[in-house]
Amino acid sequence: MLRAIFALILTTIFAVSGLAGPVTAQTAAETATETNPRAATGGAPTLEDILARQRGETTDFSHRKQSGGTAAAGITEQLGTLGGSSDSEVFRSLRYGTADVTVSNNGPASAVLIQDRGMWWLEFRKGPLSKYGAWLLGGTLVALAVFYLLRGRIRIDGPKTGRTITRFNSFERFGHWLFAGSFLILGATGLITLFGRTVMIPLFGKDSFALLASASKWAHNNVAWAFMLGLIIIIVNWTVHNIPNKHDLKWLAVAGGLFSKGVHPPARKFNAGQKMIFWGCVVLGLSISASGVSLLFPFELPMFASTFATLNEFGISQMLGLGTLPEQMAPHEEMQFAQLWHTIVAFVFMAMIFAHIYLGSIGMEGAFDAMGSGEVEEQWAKEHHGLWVEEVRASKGAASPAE
Amino acid sequence: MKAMMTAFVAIAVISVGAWYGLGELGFSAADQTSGSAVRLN
Repeated sequence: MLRAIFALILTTIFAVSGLAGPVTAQTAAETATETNPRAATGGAPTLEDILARQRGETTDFSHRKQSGGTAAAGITEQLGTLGGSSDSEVFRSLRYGTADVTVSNNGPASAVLIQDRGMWWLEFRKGPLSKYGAWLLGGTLVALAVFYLLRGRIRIDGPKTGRTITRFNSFERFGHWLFAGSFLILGATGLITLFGRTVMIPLFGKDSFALLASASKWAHNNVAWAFMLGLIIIIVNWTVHNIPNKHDLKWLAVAGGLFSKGVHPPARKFNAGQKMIFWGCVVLGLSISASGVSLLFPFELPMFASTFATLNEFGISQMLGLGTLPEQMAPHEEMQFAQLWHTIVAFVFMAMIFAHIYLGSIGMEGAFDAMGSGEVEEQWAKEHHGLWVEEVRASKGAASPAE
Repeated sequence: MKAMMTAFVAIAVISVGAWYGLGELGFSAADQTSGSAVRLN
């Protein structure tokens, strides 16, 4: 009996202490969790961290970046093949760029073994970038086709004189075609590169596309220099003639007469529409050249971290709703941004040039001669560049006595 | 049309020239990304 009572007392004591133990531990854990939310996970991300990341919210992983292990454990501890680090710690330090990596190849990017912004770029490139780019080009072509159906070919309204006037000299035409010809090659090869995997491989197969992709890459890389030279020539030749003046307002007020027959606003060598194309070519051409050169010499000419820093500093990125843009990035990430920007500019450039090609060929009677032979029908010149014709006549008249 | 054809020939000449010239100057991807321990040719 005594033994039974003793056993009961002991059981009660242990039961009470057993209950008290977890309660005490739980209270301590709760206190620790309140002060440090990751104490319960041993420093690893919490469920809330993971859910926030999945919702696309910005999460602070600075505590993980610092948790890369030590190169060597204390001498009293057993060293594994990774020294004092675990697999997780090694991969974490590689991911956050804190690992001491030694490689035998060259270049700023060679020591970066994990670059975790690559998937975002890949998804954006094959998703929204390709989709909206294709819509832009397709939409432009449809708009031009509708314009052609409604307006038809813009004809020379007055009677043709049979006389011609020199619109562009041979050097001007050479510069234009150097720029234009290389643009067409770069545009086509760029589209092959962007849509190769999604469109061309299913159509032609991998073997055929491999050959096409190699040729396309070679052409895109090397024709780029002719494009840049062409851009310099057109800037030198035509900038003076493309400075906006008061006649541009009159031209814009009637949309250049593009939508109505018999309307011919006055214009000098270039009208307001052509000036928009010119300045579009200059701005987009310089921008696409800058990102293109950065891509031609990978990792050597990064430009986005410094650009983003400037945008952040002046509050432009916040004003555009982009938040704070990254100012420190892996070499690959610089190239990814350069590629995205290069492609966005290229799509806008191509859409603009579609309209230019249309008006310079089937869209307007007599327009191609300006860049073909350089000689245009006098009546065409009077209708589209009346002030310029007067200037040419005046200069010839002034020159005649001396001749 | 002579100016146009000349420009197209110039594109071809500049492209081949750029490819050859940059390659000779050591700007090929192979040259740029290999270390001194690598024998390329």
